[in-house]
Amino acid sequence: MKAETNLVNSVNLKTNLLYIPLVIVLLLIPLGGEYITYLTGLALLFGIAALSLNVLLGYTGLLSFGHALFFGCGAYTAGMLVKHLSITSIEILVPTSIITSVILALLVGIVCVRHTRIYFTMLTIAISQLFYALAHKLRPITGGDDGIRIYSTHVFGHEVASITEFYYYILVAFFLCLFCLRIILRSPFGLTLQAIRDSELRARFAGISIIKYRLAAFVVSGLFAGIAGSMYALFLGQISPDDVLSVMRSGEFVAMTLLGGYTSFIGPIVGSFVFTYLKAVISSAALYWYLVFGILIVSIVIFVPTGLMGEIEKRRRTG
Amino acid sequence: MISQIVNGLIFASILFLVATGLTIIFGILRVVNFAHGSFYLMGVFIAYSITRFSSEPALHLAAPFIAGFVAGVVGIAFERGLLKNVYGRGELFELLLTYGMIFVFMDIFRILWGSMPVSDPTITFKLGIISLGGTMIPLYNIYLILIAAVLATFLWFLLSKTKVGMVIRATSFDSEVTSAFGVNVSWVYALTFFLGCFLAGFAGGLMLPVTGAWIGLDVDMLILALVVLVVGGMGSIKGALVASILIGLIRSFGISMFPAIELAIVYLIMIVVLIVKPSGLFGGAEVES
Amino acid sequence: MDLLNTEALKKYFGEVHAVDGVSLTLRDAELLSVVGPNGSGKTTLVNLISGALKPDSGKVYFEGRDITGIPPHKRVKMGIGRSFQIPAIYENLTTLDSLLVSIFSNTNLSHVFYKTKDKFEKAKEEAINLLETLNIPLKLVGELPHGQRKLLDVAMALSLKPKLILLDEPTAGISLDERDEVMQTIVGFIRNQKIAAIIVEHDMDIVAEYSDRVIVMHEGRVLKEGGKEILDDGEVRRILIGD
Repeated sequence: MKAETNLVNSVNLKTNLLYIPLVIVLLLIPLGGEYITYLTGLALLFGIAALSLNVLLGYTGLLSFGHALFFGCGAYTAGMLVKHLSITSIEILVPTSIITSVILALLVGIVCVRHTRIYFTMLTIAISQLFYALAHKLRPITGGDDGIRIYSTHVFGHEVASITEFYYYILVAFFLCLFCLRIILRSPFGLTLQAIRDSELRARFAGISIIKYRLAAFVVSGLFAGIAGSMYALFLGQISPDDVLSVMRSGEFVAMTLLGGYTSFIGPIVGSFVFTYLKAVISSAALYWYLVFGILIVSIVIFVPTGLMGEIEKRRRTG
Repeated sequence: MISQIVNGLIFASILFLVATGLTIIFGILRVVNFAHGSFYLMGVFIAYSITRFSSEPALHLAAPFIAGFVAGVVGIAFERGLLKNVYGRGELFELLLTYGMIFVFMDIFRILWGSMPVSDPTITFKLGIISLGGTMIPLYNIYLILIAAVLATFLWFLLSKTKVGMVIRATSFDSEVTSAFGVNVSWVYALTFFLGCFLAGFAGGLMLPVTGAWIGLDVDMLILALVVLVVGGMGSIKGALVASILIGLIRSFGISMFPAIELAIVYLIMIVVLIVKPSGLFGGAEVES
Repeated sequence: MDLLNTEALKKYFGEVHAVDGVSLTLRDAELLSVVGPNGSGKTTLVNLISGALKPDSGKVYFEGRDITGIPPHKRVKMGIGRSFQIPAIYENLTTLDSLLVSIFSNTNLSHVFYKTKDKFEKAKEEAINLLETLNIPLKLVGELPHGQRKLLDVAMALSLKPKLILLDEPTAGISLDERDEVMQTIVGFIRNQKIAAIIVEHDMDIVAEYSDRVIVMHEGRVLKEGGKEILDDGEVRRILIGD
């Protein structure tokens, strides 16, 4: 079926069934203790962010090196509402983060999507660095270098008591995002994005308004990154510009996507899990994480440019 | 006022050297070398190790040149050994490869030189201070600006008046045609990488007495060099010169006048240039349709 | 009413007068071939009509409407499709998906985020029919041989159900013995659907075989216009063979 079409009607039931054991494992993660739960929660949130980045990279063919901007927008929206207005309800914070991320993505997108290739990449770096610098310096609003602490969060009036409880909220958000993105990317809209990626010229002469579709992809991408950022702020209880807005964070999202495979829908999630666990293991063993990370990126780029899932899918297809 | 101008020019000189390396590499290989800040940082660290041997001023003055040379050789090794493998796969992979190298270098520096900042102002003390319109300025700072100016002139001469420069420019124009004329394009690429990384390492060496080095400076330097690259026009040395001076002075005056947002202003300039003229102030062709 | 009119179209690239005052008309369902030596302005003319380039002066009218200032993707929606000398195709999509992109665009479904089954089944059926008619296999675009890549490029334009299709060297790069078959497939479909076409072509046998009318261009101008018989004209032959 794969060779025929990417649209919804060809989703293979069998491959979907393969995911059931994985879902069960994710549900049982809290049995592994608080640390594993915490790590998996992070991996899920970074997974959403990397997935959202891949709407641009894998599907639209635009490399953003400033995606932390939208992750940070979600995080700071939640953080600032807690700090200044003492709102601690997730059901208010996350939707508000969605709204601010969409607005920001729309404004930034209008500027960025007129450019492609390295110019697009440079613009995303410049704009995210601008906000990073502002977050650093506008101390009264953003808390400056120290960032913002969030001491407690509520769901419909009930205080979230443990990491485990929050983990399940993340899991719900994760599956919702996954579901929505899968539908979006397998829709005519998603197909149109891929067409623009492969041949802007042909897409234009198929009657498609390129800029509008790139902008829409940019906004979709920003929206889901915003959700991830917002939940990240509440999950960790602490944010700072270096953690959520820096170019290093943007680079990590790119690395996760590359690692898992930008040609595959679930590649970025695989990437975020491998990345998060590997980083935890290597850092805790007091080894040189950056060295491993760097060598990993270099090797992937040279030897398996389509990433882990890209390679697996290729092998599955060829036999 | 004068000290701000001098500080601005020091910063501009360093930025010019680093960004010129970046712009030459981009101009010829069409690769934005994200690891360029790492070659700068490497330069500072190597100069630091060299100056451990003695406090002899001549050694301290020679250190940046040696540091630049070593950085250049590492640059060639990187280009021939790794980057070469992904030519033709598109700029995404070239960019990501150099991005990965940032981290490799970062930990290698940590292993070799530790995590603490290093600095050695010996040469600044030995050369002494001169008075410029009533302001006391270290002579070394003046030397730094002059040597950057000399190097800028030398580069201009190399690229526009010599045979090597002609071959380099021809390769940037059309590598296939150039190779058809019997030029070994691989060597031009390697040479270009040497030159670009030499400039970054040399700039780093020069800054050892002024700011020194710390892990993290590589990324900061990279980002500022990217700003210069974009504002000046990717591939344009003249653009790099003008943009470096512009950014250098803005930073220097910005730090004293509006310290809170001086970086924000720099990024804003980059954004405005990218929007209004993606090819930069002095960019040539290479703009998308 | 004519389907297409151009009025004194001019396009200069610096000193080069690529198109220098070309006026032509095209009726419904007419097949017009544009011939001429390399650099005579044929492709530039196609680019001006399709909107890929803006003329320095002159006008383009489509169904009586001035479309000179209208961007290409909107001209497509009005019914002007085109193919390219070097096929502009989606390397990583399947042939079916490639046509679906055009069909969705044409039926204003491209922006749809979800799926309403009946509409998509219809689009899919339409795409598969077109693939079968044009003998294009259902596979990844990147795996197609050259001839079929050219054909797919044309098919993507045809799936937009245009009133006019601009074919820029549809047989370029295709081996001599395959050319006829490719042209027969394309022209058969165009005739059947009563689509008008402007064909830029080098192969004079193909031109003679498949066009209703011929325009000979030289140095940006229309040198001669008429039936196929003008291909035998002495001056025309001299220019074309001098190519």
